[in-house]
Amino acid sequence: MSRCGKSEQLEAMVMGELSGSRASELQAHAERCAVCRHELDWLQSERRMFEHRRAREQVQQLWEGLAARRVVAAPIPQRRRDWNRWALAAAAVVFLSIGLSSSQVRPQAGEGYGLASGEAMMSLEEMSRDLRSTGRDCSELRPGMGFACGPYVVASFADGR
Amino acid sequence: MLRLLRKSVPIEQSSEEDLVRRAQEGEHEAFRTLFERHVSGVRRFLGDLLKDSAAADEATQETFVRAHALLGRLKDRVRLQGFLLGIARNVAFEHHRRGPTREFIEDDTPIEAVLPAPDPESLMLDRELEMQFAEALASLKPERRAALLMRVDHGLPYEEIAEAMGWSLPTVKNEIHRARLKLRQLMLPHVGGRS
Repeated sequence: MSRCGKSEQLEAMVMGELSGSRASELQAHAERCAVCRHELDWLQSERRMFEHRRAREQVQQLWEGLAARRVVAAPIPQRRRDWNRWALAAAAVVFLSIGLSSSQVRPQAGEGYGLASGEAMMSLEEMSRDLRSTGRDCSELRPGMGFACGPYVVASFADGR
Repeated sequence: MLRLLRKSVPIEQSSEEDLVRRAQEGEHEAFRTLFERHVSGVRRFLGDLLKDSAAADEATQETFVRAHALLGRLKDRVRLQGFLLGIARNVAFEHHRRGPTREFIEDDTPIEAVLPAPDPESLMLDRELEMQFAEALASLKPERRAALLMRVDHGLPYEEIAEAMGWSLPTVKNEIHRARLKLRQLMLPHVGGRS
């Protein structure tokens, strides 16, 4: 079809049958030669249409496969009913409000930590400092401190670094 | 020893040549693997020739039944695709002969070879173009269409097409050339040409 006499080579190039160097050479020629460029445009368009058709056919086959499994014949499952979502939201609100109310009840000085009345709470830093300086074992801690071995662990960790 | 080594290669990874040899020796699994590799291409080819989905399914089965019976005659084992499409083409034409004959009014008057060419990059590949392309293909003479499809859609070399169609090499080239020109003429109004 190309009057330049390169139709068969152009076709082979479009079909991917030419070596890389030969294809580049021919491509370069087609850039300069209007007749070959014209033929190449047709060949490439034709190839694209065939490829598109092939791809569409694959999609069609997949769709038929899906239809054969009766997946698409069944109604599409709807989203969960609204009351389900509301129940979930209500449960979340109740859960959060319980959490908030319990965190708002702050213990009085020493309350809940086993401190004797009038004894001030120690900060973690103070406790650590105390334990680091003495290096005493948990069992030697003075009664009423209430933390058992907790602070000792912190101190040991700090010392170990 | 070599035989043992060959056996250890998973059948799916075996070369086509090896599979054909094994199928010719009567290995059922080898034939099945060849079937799996080629069935979709053969089915597409028959769908294009027959334009009837049920007939194409039936013809695909018939093609593989015949291929099984004739496989021993295939000497060049790498040419299986041409061998299968050649059988498929015979099956399709037998089907055409049985059914009502459709008159193909495609004329052989020369077509102006220099039609404006489309820009391949800006081709709008939508459903409409797809349908027009299918119609244009269907309007080609069945033999001519078969040859064009073997070349462009299935990538067969001209020599294999000649063998599959029972034509000489110049006839194959001429028929494919004419099919292309006709297709271009029919598609031109839909693809937009640039001179």
